[in-house]
Amino acid sequence: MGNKLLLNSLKKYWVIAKITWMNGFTYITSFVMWRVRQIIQMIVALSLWESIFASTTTAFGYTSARMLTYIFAANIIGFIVTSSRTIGVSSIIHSGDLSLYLVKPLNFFLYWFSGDIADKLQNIAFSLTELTVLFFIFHPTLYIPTHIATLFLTLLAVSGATVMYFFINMMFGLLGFWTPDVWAPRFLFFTVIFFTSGSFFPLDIFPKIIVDILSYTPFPYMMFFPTKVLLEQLSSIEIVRGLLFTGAWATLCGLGAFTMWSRGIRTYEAEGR
Amino acid sequence: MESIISVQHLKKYYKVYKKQPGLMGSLKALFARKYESVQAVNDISFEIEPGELVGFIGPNGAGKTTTLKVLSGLLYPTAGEISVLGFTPWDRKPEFQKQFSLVMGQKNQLWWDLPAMETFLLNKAIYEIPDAQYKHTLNKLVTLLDVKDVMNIQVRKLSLGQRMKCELIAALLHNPKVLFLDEPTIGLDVVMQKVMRDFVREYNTTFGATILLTSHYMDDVKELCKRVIIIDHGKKLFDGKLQDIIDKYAKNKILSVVFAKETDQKKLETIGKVKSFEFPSATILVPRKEASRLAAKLLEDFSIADLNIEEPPIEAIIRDVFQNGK
Repeated sequence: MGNKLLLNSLKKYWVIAKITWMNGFTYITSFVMWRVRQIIQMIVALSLWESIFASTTTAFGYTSARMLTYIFAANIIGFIVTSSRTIGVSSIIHSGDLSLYLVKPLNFFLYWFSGDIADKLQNIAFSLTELTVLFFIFHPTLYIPTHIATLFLTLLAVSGATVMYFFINMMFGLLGFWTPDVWAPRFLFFTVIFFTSGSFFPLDIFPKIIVDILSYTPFPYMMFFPTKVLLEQLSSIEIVRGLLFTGAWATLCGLGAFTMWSRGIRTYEAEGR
Repeated sequence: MESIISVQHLKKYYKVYKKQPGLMGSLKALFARKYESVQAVNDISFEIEPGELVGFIGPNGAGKTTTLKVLSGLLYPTAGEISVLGFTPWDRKPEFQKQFSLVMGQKNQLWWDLPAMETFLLNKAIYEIPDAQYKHTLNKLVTLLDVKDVMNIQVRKLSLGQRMKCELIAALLHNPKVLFLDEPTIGLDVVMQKVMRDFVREYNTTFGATILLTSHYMDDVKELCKRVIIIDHGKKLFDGKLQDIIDKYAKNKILSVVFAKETDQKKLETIGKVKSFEFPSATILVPRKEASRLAAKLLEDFSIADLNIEEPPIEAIIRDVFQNGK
């Protein structure tokens, strides 16, 4: 009985993921532009570092090969963690379309998370070709992890980052309960992420004090930390600490999002009929 | 019989922010906002029994939609006790949600860029409808509404009428016991309005569903609902049989006359208020209680070819009720 319930529930969110995916294909221009943006970002980072390494063999303690491998890996992880559909949440609340979700036996968070998973799968599937092309242009050294545990730990770090990123986005979306003006704080947040998550450069090129301060924020755990785990450049203690911080931030952001939801839903006025 | 919907002393107040016009008003509002409490629903009570089809009528802003939203669990009431199917709606329990449906004429649940069939399949998963039940209900609804040919066409390519039919199917696939219809015929042409009405009636009898319907079109209510609840300014003005509204509120009757000979309008005005006069026809409004006496007087004093004593149209009575506030 319990198994059947779980199965039905899983099926429900699988169908949601599928329909989100199908719907995504109707907005193919947006999707292609998003991919172009991701690829340009990656090319800019790779070209930047290639030109720096043209005149020196090491920079900030990194060799050229190690840096390119880092950028390549960090961006792949970035594709996975940061692809999301939650940008629609605030307008759904503000327009009153939330009513359509609230009357159904649905978990609003799981609904959007399923959409996010669909989006990530779509991005992964399409980025494979682009990454192959970039690989042949920049020849980053492919780093094959030496321990099978590394793959498991990376998966754990990426999953934690995905959940944390989802809840952060949900918090921005849920602001829609109180203001239609969600764009500005979201923009500011993305600007901070741009410099502090590690997609352009490994954060350990910063002075130690900054690295230490950043390690208490959620940003390094989005791309920098999972990449370092994958490239086996962290000690066991650093991995455990990083995973604990990822978990703690994911939990905190989750609590924040759930609190906003339970308060917001009481102020919701289901406008627009 | 135990009621399926019970509303006791429902109140719902909104906090509304008031902005002065113009740019200065917007700037001022940045620093100090003035809020005002609006009583959307103010102490409404009613009970609805299983299988009833009740019309909920009132002018714009009367509180109809707010009440439906509270009953659907979208809004938390300011005060009052509400039970639908034995549940408190705003707890939003899945067992409750699987037994009712809300159709809003101005909100679409169909995925705009995909064929309606995809939304049906999604709802099948969301409501966890077993395969056999899904096929059976879908076939029945598709036949009733005659939309077999459009289910696999992108929703945005459909006409408003076709879309509304598909909206209804999406809302009814899980065989809800209680159905809230908020302006289901809005924007539809007269033919499509009739199709919708026939369907709602059919659904009510075939599935034994309890239906609460709001509409601006009196024809919807007249044709479908034996019982109506009239609200205005958040207050209930009337709850009972449609026919009883006439008995309760109609102050006048209409004498419809066809004259045999030319007559003078001035003289006609001694009978009652002349609403229209274009020889040989005239309509005269007379006090309800004196209708028979004045009709007799009319027959006596004028040369009449035909005379009918009619009730005023229900729309006019309800309009009077709203205009007079009671």
